[in-house]
Amino acid sequence: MEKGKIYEEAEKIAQKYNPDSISPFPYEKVQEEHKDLAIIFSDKLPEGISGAIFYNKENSSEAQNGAEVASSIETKQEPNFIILISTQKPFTRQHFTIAHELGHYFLHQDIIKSEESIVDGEGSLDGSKMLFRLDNAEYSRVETEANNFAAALIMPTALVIKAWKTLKSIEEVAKVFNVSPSAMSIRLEKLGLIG
Amino acid sequence: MDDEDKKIQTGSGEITPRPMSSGGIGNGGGGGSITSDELKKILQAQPTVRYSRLPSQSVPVSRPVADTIEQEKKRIENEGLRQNINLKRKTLWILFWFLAAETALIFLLAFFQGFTAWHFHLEEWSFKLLVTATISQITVMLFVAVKHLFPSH
Repeated sequence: MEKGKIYEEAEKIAQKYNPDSISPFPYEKVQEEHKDLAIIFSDKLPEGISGAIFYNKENSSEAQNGAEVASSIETKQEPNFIILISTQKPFTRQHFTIAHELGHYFLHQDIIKSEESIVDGEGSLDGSKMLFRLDNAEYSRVETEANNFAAALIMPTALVIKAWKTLKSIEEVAKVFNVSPSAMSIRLEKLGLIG
Repeated sequence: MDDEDKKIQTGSGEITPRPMSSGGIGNGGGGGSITSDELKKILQAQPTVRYSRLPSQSVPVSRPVADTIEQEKKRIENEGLRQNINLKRKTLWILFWFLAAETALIFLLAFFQGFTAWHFHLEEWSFKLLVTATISQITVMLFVAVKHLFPSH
């Protein structure tokens, strides 16, 4: 998917679930509407893992349609996409990781379904180091798309420009959006605000 | 491990992860990796949730970004003012001690002049010049300091 379309999609979702541009992003509103999605926080993920998204076939609508339902209470849709976030990471990392995994959820459902999971470490989130099962280019594309989505979701263009013009400090602007200075500097660079 | 063992109770359903070597992409880069067994343990340890919030102790207050920008702008301005005031205070303190030392020195010279102590003697015109110049200097410096500390705008 083109970068522009990803930004458009992310800002559309941001507008829908976060019309007042609140930070940290109120991702629980996404969960409220998307009953097939659960976000779970865990302090037990290995050190190098920031987050992951899994597809739970057992809970998929196809599986549920075939199953006998005992009562009407149980007919509600169970989450079949599970996002797991490591709480061992700093809050700024967790915030970006949730947005990144939401990027996978909104953009790459087919890949998640076919692969069952996408696991993201610090390397794949900052784009420096990756290990692949999909071929290199495909995995790189998927991760880059999720990063672009996350950046646009939690750092909307108009507000980043406004914040940069007002505060003129990467650290200060990063603090406003609850992201790390390195994530903010990448965003500012991509928006052409810094060299 | 049989198929039943591979099923993981997440509280809101079951998940059957495949080992990352045979299913799932990316194992994190950055030096981390995760196995099927580890994943199973992690998910088993989670409470039953439909949706969850970040652990409260690590979450900053949620507020509109536009408000935060304004707040940060004011904070930075206030911080700048505070630093400015501290700098002024420090400068004034140094100025005060300098003027005090200068006054003491002039007083000492006047004392020596008056009592011709240790045969100290200045020509009358030079003594008058010294005293007048010092009084003028102190007056001007105080005027500049006060004007700078309490600007009319």
